[in-house]
Amino acid sequence: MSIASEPTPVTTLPPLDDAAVASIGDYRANTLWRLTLRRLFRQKSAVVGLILLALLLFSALFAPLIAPYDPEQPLIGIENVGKRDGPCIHLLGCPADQPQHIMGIDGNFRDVFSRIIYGTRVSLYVGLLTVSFAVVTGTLLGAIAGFFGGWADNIIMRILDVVLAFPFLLLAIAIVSVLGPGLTNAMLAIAIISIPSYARVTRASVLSVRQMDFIEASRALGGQQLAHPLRPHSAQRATAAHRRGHVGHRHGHSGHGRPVVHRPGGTAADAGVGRDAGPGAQPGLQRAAPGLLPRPGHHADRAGLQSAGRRPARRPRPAPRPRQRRGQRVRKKSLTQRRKERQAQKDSELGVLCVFA
Amino acid sequence: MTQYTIRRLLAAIPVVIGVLIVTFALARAIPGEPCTAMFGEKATPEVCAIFNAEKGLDKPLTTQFAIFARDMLRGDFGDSIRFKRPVMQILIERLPQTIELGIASVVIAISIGIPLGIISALRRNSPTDVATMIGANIGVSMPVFWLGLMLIYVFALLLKDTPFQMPASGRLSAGMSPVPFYEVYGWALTEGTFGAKLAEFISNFYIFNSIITADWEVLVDAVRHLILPAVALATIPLAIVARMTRSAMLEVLGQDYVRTARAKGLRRRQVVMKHAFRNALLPIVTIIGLQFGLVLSGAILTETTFGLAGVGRSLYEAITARDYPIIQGFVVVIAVGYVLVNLLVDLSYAILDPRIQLD
Repeated sequence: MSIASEPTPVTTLPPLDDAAVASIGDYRANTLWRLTLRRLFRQKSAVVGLILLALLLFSALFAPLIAPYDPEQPLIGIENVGKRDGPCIHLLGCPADQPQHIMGIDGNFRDVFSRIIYGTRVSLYVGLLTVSFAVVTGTLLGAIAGFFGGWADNIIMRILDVVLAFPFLLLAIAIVSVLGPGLTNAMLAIAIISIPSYARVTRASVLSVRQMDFIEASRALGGQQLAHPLRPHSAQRATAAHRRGHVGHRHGHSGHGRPVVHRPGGTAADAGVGRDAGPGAQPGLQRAAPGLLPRPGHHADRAGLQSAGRRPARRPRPAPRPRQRRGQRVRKKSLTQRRKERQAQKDSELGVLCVFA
Repeated sequence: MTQYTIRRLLAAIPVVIGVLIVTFALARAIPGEPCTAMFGEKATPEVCAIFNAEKGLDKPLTTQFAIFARDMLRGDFGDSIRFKRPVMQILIERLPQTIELGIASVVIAISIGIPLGIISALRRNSPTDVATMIGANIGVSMPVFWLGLMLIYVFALLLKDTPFQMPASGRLSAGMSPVPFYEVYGWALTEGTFGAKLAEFISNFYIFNSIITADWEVLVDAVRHLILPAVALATIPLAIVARMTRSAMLEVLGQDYVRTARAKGLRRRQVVMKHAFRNALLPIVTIIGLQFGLVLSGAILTETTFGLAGVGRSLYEAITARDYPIIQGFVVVIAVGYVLVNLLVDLSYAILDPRIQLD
């Protein structure tokens, strides 16, 4: 991480020259946002994804300028075209006297290319709204379930389990047929179905973060209960705080720990035992490691976009294994807690999988 | 382990009850009645009154639900409104087909996806890796129905009259009739007993049935019919499994014990397969279980494209016909299947990684 190091303190301050002022500017400019963006653009897959997204946005915004025809106007009687005509591109040898249709004509005598260009509007609209609805609702529910635990957790997660175990199709058909067909209702159907996956991911991260010291500290300082699930320990904040080294000396992974977000690869392997507990790992640590690191954003790996804020751009070298100092006490976890963590990890995986599926 | 299994099964009960309630409510919330769906224009109020009384649909909703819950507890799924046959019988006929399809597609996904993922991880950033991952991305983004249609086009039309021709729809060619194994072995089963139902259920797995009865003709035919839908259905899981394997393997391969194993002189192959792969298996198993669960209910597009009467398609048809008992029965079976597959996945954790203690 390339945060400019602070100037070494000197007893007499040198006069402020231009270079010093500029370096202050540099230092300030390295905000989390900027670092995030820099990492984002270092990832090829993310850049490709962004370009694709930009293309979609462009064609949605400028659809009237790009599309040669009205997407809904049947061209029958207007042009000499037939039903489901193939593409006619002048550059590729289509006779110049025929109207040009890059992608041909559909079953209702409409220009397919124009329809696709206009269609990106609907796709983007649906995608953006459904995902944001699902993310907001799912994250809230997951955070509440994870933070308060107990009956709230049980009720929320069981209800979401029902949604998850329910065949997607029936739910979608039922929602649309109860509320009536239409774009909004279809969107609602998609959104409701994808809530559980987000909730599970969030719950898993919240579960693992809520035991961390800075939450305890915040509570001890008199922070409000409700502020916790919503603020300081939302996943990014936690990771960011973690990376800045605010957390975790006691947990056996000394200070800087691993800024790397754990991926679902973690799984049950670190349930009872530590992530690092391969055949060659030191014992002792094994109990300390699981669940202590925030595991948000598991799809980070896939979606460069999401990952940028949380993990180094290149796949990190195998992180240095936290060393246990001699005499340092490793906190043991109760069975229930470990079971909870294991469930949380599983949940988070499941969430990711559902997002993919 | 037993204790854990029992606890998990108990924990699944509320979920299944929830599914029961939601299914019951949703099925009835869909506008339109079974009567109008069945009789169309002839559904006069008089006809519908008789029809509803006959099917018990005139009772208050709460009573209907009580009857439904009672029957479910007894293992009675009720009678289909449209087919006038027990839902259980329909399940016995259609579930094996979906399970067969699901198993076939998951087998394809595993047997191709895992090696691809391992190779990608071992040759990270090589052309092989890049090609695999691009292929996986394409696979994830491919609409199943389109892929299905393309497969039909290529294998049933373009390759017609070549050895690669594949049948485009159905489970068996016309004229093929598999003989159930219990008839071959001459078992005397009393109609209506649980054993008879179970035997019939098993015999509807055509591939399995033809293997144990040594009916190779049917076997070949059933496999040929299964290949295209299974490939279509396997594409997305295959891509996901490949990516998952790659990332899990990368994570494990970067760890110290792998280096140690190499340093002490073990063969690369042995390190990869024994030390690394086994530890990378857990997330892969999770995803495989999940995909199988999804296939149970989500194969409707594939089933429709390939003209198979499986669970997804039956469910869809039942919804359009407002056939409440079928909707309820099938949804409950799907939910239970989902819970069971999840449980199996969790149990397999303990087998794959002995350090995990479930209790």
